[in-house]
Amino acid sequence: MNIFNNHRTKEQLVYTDRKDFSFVSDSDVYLDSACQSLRPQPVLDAMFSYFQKYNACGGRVKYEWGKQVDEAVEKARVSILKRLGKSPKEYGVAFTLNTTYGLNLILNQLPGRIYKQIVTSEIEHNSVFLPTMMLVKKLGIPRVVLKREQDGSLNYTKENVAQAVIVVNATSNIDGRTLRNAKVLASDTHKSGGILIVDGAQSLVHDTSLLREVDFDALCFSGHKTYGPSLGVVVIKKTLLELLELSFVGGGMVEKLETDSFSIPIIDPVSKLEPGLQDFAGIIGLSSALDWLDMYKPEGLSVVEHTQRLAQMTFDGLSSIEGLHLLNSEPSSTISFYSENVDAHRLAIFLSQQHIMTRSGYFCCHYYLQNVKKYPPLLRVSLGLHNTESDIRKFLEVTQKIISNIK
Amino acid sequence: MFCIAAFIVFLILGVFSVRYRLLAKKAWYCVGRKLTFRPCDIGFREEAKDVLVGKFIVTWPRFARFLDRWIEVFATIFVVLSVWSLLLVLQSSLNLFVYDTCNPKDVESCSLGGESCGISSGQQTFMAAVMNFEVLTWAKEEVLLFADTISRIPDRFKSWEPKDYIDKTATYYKPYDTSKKTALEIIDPGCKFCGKLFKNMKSAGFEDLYNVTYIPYAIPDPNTPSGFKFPNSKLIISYLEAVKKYPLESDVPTDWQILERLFVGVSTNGTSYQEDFNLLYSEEEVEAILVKWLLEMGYDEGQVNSIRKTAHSLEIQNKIKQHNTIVEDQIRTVKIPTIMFDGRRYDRVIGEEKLR
Repeated sequence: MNIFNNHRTKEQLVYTDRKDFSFVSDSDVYLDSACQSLRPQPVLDAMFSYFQKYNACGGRVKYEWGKQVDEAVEKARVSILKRLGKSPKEYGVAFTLNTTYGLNLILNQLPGRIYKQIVTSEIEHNSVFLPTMMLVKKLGIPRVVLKREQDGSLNYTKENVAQAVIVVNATSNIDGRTLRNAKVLASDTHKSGGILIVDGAQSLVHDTSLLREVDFDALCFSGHKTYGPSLGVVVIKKTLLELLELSFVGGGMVEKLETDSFSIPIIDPVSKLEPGLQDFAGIIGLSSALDWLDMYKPEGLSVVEHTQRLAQMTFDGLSSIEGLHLLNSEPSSTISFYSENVDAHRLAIFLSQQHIMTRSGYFCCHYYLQNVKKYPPLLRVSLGLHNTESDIRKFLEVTQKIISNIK
Repeated sequence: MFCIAAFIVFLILGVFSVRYRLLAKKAWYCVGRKLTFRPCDIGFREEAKDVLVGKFIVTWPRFARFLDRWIEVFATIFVVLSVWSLLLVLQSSLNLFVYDTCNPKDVESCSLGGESCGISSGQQTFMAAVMNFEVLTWAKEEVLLFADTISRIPDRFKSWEPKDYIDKTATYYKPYDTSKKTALEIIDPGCKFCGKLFKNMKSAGFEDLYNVTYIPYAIPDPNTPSGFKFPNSKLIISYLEAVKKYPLESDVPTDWQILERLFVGVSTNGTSYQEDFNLLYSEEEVEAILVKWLLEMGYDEGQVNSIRKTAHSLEIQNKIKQHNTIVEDQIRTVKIPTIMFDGRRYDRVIGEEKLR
C-alpha cells in the first residue's frame, strides 16, 4: 500500500484559488495566522489518512503500518531540512510540542561550563524572554537584553556575543520585522565561541531565504503557524545535541539499559529531544503542509508574492485611516497598531461581532510593548494564505466604520 | 451593576449552553469582586459590554453609541426588575404553598390556585396605592401580610380535624353515623365553585363515606352595596341557620335541601338558581323563593313565618358571626370552598377521584 495514496500529486497541488480552505465561511475573516494558521484540506486529509490507514507507533514496531509511519516521519525530517537548506549530516530534526517547548528543552539542557552570558533582544516573545531568565538562574551567568533596530537587525558588539548563548527571533510576531543581520550575527557568535538559537515560529511560513543563509545552531518553530497541526520542531546541529545534558528522558530514547545507567543510540541522537511517543499524525500533517506550501499558488502567485500583495493592501489601507498608529514602518504579513479613539480590546471585540478575527493586547511581548515602549494595548492583524483581497477590503471597511462611528 | 445583570442573563442562558455557563462563572467572579469592593480585574464588564455594542456599531452606530453611554443605567433597571421579579416569584411560591394561591389579595388572578372564590383582604394593589399616594401604607400592609403568611406555614403541616370547628347545631347531609369520619366544608351559597364541589361530592358518593357537614360563610366585599361578594349569600345563610331550629322528619335536613336546590336546581329561566340569586333577584325575590321552597319541603305557613322571623333574629345573626370568627380566625382560609377530611385540608374544588 502506498501510504501517500491519499495525498495529491505535484500536479494536483498547483492551486489557483482558495479551495483548500473551502471550509471557511465567506463571512468569516480570520486574521490571526501569526497565532495559528488555518490547515488546508490536504493537511487534514494526510492526517485523516494516517488515522484511517496506518495508525501505528513509529520507531519501535516491526509490523507494516509502523514501518509506514517511520517512512513518513523520516520524510518529514528531510522536508524540513530541505526547506531550510540544511544538510542532514550536520543537523537533526526533533519533534516537540511547540516552539516554547523546544526552546526550553534546549536551554534547560545546555551545559554550564561553556557559556559566559545569555543574550536576547527586547522584542522577543515570552517564549524566549522567560526561558532565558530561567537560564540565568540555572547557569549562574549574566543575561543581556539587546535592542533591535527598526529593520529587525540586532544591535550588538563583539563583547555581547563572546561565548554567548544568543536566543533571538528571526521574525517578530509584533510587526514581522526580520533579523536582517542574522548571517553576520551567526558568524560573529561562532567566532567567539557562542551559539545562536533562533526562534523561527513566525519565519517558516514565509520567505525562508534568510534562514537558509544563516548558520544557526538551533532553530525552533511550530507546525501550527506553518499550516500544519499543533506541533513543535527543533532543527539542531548534531554538535550541539552532543553537548546537551539530558534532564528529560523516557521511552524511545535508549539503546542500552543497565540497572543504574543507559545510553542514547549514536545513530539517532535527536531522540535526546524526543522522549516518549511522538504525535505521528501531527508530524505527517506537518510534512504535508510543507509540501503544500511549496506547491500552493494562490491566484497564480507564489506564496511570497500573494502575501506581499495582501500585506501592501492592508498596510496602505490602515495607514489611510485617521487616528491609527501603525507600529510597522513597512508592509508585513503581521501588522500591529492602536487607535486614538478605541481601545484595542474593544476594537477586537467590535470586529469580532462582524466576524473578523484579530488579536488584541501585547501578544506575549509585554516587555517591549508595555515596559519599553509603553504602548497601549495593540490590535494585530496577521495574514494567511487563506486570505483574499475581499477579506482585506472587508476588514478595512469595517475598521474604518468602527473608528468613525465610535467617536 | 452590569456584571450582576450579565450574571443573571448568563445564568439563565447557561441552563442551555456550556458557553454561557463559563460566562456566568466569569460574571459571578466579577460580582464577587464588586460585592467585596474590589475591582473586577478580568475586564469582563468591558468585554461583555463591548460584545453588545459591537453588534450595532457598524449597522446602527447611533444606537450603539446610545447603548455605550447608557448601558449601566439599563443594567441597573434590569437588575432591579430581576431582583423584584425573583422576590415576587419567591413570595408567590410561598403563597401558593401556604394559601393555595399565588396572590392571597386577589385569589382569582392566580391560575395555579385551582377553582375557588377568593376572600378579599381589602388591601389595595401597588398601582392603586401609587394613585392614592399611599405607597407607604401599601408597603406596611405588604410587610404585615408577609409576616402573616410566615405565621401560617405551620398550618400546612398540621392535621385538620373537622370536630375542632363544628358546633352542636351542625347538620349532616345524611344521618350521622358514628362509624364514619366527618368531613367539613366551608361554603358560600353564592360561590359557583362551592356548587361545583357539591356536585362532585354527590357524583362521588362522598356523603355515603363521610358524615358531611358545613359552615356557611358569606364572603365579605366592602366594595359592593350589600357588603358581600354575592349579594344574597347573607340572607340565604340566615335561612340555612334558621331552618336548623325547625327540623322536619326527612332523611336530608332542610338546610341541606335548600343548598341542593340552590346548587343543583334550575329556575324557570333555564339557568341555575345560584346564578339567578347572584345576578337577577333582589333580596325580596330571593326570600320569596326560599319561602316557596320551604313550603314545598313540607313546612306549613306558620312554621315558615317562624323561620322567617328566626332568620332575621339577633340569635341567628350572632350565630353567623360565630361562624365567621371560626372561618376568619381559626381556619383562616382566603378562598373557598374549603374542605377538610382525613386530616387534610383543601382550599379549592376537588375532583371526584379524590372524593371517592
